[in-house]
Amino acid sequence: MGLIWRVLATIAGTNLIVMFVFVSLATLQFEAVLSGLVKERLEVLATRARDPFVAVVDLGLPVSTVRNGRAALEAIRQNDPAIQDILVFSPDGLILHTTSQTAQETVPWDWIHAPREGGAGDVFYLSGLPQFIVGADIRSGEETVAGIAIVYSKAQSRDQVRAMAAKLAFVAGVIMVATILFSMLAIRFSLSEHLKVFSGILRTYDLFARSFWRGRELQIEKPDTVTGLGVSTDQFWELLQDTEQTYVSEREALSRDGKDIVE
Amino acid sequence: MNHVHQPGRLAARRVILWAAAVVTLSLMTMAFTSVRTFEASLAPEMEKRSQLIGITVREEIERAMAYGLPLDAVTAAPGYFEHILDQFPEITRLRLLSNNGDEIASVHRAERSDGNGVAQGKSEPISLAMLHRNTIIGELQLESDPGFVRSRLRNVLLDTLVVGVVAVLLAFEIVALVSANTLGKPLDRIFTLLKEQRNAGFRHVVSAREAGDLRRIARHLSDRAEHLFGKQECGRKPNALPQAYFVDVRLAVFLFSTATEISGAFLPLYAQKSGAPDWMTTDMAATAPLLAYLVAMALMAPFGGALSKLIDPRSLFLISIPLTAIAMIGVGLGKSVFAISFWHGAMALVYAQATIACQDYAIRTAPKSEITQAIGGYLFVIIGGALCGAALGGVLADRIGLSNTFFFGGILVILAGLVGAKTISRQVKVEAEVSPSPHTSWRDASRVLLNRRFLALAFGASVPMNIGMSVFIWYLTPVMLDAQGVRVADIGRVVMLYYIAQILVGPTVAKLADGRVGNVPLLLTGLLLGGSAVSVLSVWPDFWVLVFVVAAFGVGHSLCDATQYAHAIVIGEETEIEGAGDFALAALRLIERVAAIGGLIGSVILATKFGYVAATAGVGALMLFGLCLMFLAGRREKASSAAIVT
Amino acid sequence: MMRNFMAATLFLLTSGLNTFADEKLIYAVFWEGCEHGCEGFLNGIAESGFPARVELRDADQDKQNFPDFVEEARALDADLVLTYGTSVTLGIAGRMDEANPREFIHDRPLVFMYVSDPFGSGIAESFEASGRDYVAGTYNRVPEEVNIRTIQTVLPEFQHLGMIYARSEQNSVLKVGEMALLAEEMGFTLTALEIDPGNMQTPDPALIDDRVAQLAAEGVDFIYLGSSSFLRLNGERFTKVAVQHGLPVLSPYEEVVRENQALLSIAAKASDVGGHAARQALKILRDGVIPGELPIARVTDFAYVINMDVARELSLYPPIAFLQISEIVE
Repeated sequence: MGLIWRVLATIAGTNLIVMFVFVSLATLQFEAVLSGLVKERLEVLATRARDPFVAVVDLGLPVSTVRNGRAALEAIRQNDPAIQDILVFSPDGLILHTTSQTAQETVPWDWIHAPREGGAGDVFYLSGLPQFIVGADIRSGEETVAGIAIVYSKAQSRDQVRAMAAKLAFVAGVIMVATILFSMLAIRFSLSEHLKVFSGILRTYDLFARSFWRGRELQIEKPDTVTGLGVSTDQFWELLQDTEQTYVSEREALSRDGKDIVE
Repeated sequence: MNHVHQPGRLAARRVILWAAAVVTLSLMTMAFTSVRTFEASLAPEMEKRSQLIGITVREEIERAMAYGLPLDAVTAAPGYFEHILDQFPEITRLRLLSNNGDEIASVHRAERSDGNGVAQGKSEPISLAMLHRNTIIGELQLESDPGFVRSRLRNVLLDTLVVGVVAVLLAFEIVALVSANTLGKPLDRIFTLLKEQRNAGFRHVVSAREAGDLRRIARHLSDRAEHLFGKQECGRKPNALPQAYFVDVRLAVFLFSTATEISGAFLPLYAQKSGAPDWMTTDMAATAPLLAYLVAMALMAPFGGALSKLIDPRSLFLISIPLTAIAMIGVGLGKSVFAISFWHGAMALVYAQATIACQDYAIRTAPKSEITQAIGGYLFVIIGGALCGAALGGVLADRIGLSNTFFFGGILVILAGLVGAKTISRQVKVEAEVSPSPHTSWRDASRVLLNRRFLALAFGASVPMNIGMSVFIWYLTPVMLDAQGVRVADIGRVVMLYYIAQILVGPTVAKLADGRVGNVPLLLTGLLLGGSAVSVLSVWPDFWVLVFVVAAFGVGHSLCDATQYAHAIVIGEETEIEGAGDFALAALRLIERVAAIGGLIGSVILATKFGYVAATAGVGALMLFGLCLMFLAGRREKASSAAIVT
Repeated sequence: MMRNFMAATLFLLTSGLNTFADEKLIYAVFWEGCEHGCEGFLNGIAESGFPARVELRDADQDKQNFPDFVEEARALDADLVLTYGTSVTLGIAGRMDEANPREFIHDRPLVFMYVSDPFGSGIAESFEASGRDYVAGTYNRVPEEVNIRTIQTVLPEFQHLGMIYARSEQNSVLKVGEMALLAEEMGFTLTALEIDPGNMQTPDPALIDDRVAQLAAEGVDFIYLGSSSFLRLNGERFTKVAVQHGLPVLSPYEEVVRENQALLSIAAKASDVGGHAARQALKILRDGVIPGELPIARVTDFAYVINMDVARELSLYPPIAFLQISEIVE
């Protein structure tokens, strides 16, 4: 029985570890996919919000000259309450238009130097701790003359990820319980030979030990032969007997050589 | 009765398979459920983008109408709808309908196929009513390409499967370790101790804790040994019974390989983005760390075996741990392509040493009749770890950043060290202690390099296969797929097929090599399979053909991988020169690594001049040439009484 | 006019305990009445809280009044003179290379506003400094290329631009010259008609109708108002006739779009221009800055104003992207 519990504990323990690893990785993966989808949505808003400013730049005027720039950005911001701010900034980071009342004058360095991606290579994404930042360059020809960025709260995404993690953990728990129950049946079947051999060996040893404690003169028949896993209890019985004989002879040899042996 | 030498290993093996099957089943169930759950959560999110495009366009039009723009003037404005199609590639059609359903304006994208040559078709149109002064005055309809949503869901499925594979491999290693300790070792220890004591050897004990359910027997036998040994050796206590399996080192090596390969998915990108001098092209910057890695591995090859003879494998592995961790942190902190390449090369040096030590451990702890299986098991762990590392790195890099992923890898290396310190046996000694031979002469041993069969093995099998791996898998496959417009994530998955094929086929191949088939037929089959598959690709460079060829090459390489090392040892030992087996192994490692570097450089030049297809044809031809060489010169002479099968 | 005099007086009363001795006198000359720019200036001074009195003078479109204004400004010992428009500024401050500067204000600070081309007209040297110790000013125009590109955005098939100018207004003549050069550069045709050839005085507004009809007959696509107080003041007539002939007008003056029938403008808000002038005046009077050391203050915010009624009438609509940042007038 001890063997079964050990193997069961092995399976349960391994299952626990790998389920934990799986749920962790799967949650990270879900978060990555979800972030990607949020970014794609924000990319839509950023590229649409950019269009009017591009129209201004195409005329040859700087975006800073747009008097109702803030109103144009606010129209986009109102699409989603999770949008915290939309900003237009110069190539060196100076904020030109913003929907918020911030006293901040410049945008973080990261925004300016983030790698550009997307089909036209003019969109950037940043995933700082509490927010997503998705932005797009406003270009005049090949030259970037300004940038637009959307600051989006991660609160909703975080909630979705936590909900998914909880769901996966629950499913993992259910599967673990089912696995353990199934394993209890399966192990009995798969370990039948092991159990047979181990108990045969232990029975054989018990008989040997009994014969030892009752005195060597009392000869007890060896137990029924059990074979399996490439071993035989007969072989084990013989090894026990031979080993004991060797031990006795060695001990007697030592005492003859003058080493005190205390019986 | 044909008694098995190590019954414990047999006992453990059966349980490992059962336990692994149960854990795999639960993981696959988990993976399937996860995918379904993801789909349910993500599908509505995926629809949102198309919805949002429609909503923003509608708002713009409604606002323009609020300003006084008539609806038909919107469509008269040149390029407005076309501009929207340009901005959002997944939108296939935009229509503006009047209140009574008449089409006012419509633009559509021409039917296109995706990168895999499959036409996408239409999705259900999104319909948005348009309001002006509280009256519905028309409808805006968008159709989007369902392929966009489908491909994302497919990516979710594939990524989840990869996570599942990572978990399964990890589970297998844990089960293997624990089962061996629970079942295998106790039984083997008892029988080994019995046999030793029967032959009057009372110098070892087995602790009750290590004997599991057989602790009573262990106590009895240990008591005998302590008694006699104490009397013979003036009260000293006997040592623990030396017993080591390769399984001792599996989990530690798996974690180590996972850690060191954690950058597999993004290292070229990481190097490319770092600072590089003006004369260095982006391609050069991307491949610099890989070249540094290969050079370091090649440099280490001749010395690795020698170090293993001076320092025992456990110590060697543990010494490598902090050095590897430092190197990984160095890569993570690297700000230039030179710094990154330097630290990656340094990591490769230490990695090479650690893994050579573990390979030696595998060879020394395996029964003589199971050398190929031991090497196969070692390769399984290395490749499995690499697969897991690349998959894990890909997920982590997205979340915690590239540099932090290297730091995580450093932590994982330390974890590998802690596991190894606990599980790797101290009993596997330095080879010189185990079988000290004052007669070992390396000059004599080096004569194996002139052996016909060794040369055929090295240049007929090892060199072509390694060039196939470094050139075809690491270089040509990604660039050819990229040229066909396949996305990076899909390229990674195709390359993963190569590793998965090796993991799946490897153990069976190793068994056949140690069993009835032997090494040479497997080498020949592997070369034939790999060479034919790659050659077909040069004639038919289609995406799905490439996918099939990568998998086929994986199988082919698997037939040659463990087999070539085992065969080198066999060839060396058959020369009956002391140390020739080890020398042959070390020489083969060096030759294959130098070949990998040379092949990579040569193929880049060939591809630049003649194109990727020509380079692919060259690789295929090289393998088929190797097949001929191996067939003609690689087999044992027929005059020998030994069977043709080695 | 009366309203503004009262505002100036109110100033006096609400300045409270300040003595006449502390209060500065600003002598402001306008071409025709106190409009939005004037109001912007007055508000700018009032909101600053600086004790200043503004004496408004209306030239009534008559250049003959200028010498009297110069004399009166000296007699009143004005602390600062404000001039509105190119004609007034040339009449009160003269050109930089004036042979006899004593005929003009030269002994006290002067701030100009609403001068479309201070450099071409010889009023100032460059944006960095006016070139005269006692002169400062503001600039409120967008580059003319921007206006042409705006026209091209609204009417992609645009090829032919029409303008009307009066020789009595040097700024309008300069502007035509500038547009002629631009026409060559940007590849469009320019037809510029003098409203009343040979007449150096303010032209008869009735002549506007014929000139517009002539432009239509010449086949122009778009009319540009250019730089002309005369056309601005007669904006209703000018733009109405243009619309009747199916010709859209682009105006540099916002009010011609808002209050008349010009189609669109890209312009600074008039009150903003006045506000900039007020800030220049405050720097001189309150902060003691030498006028010649001040750069020409450039207005940086422009409004894109579109008259949708006119757009509907002409069936000519700007692109949606443009509409999103425009101020719409109906």
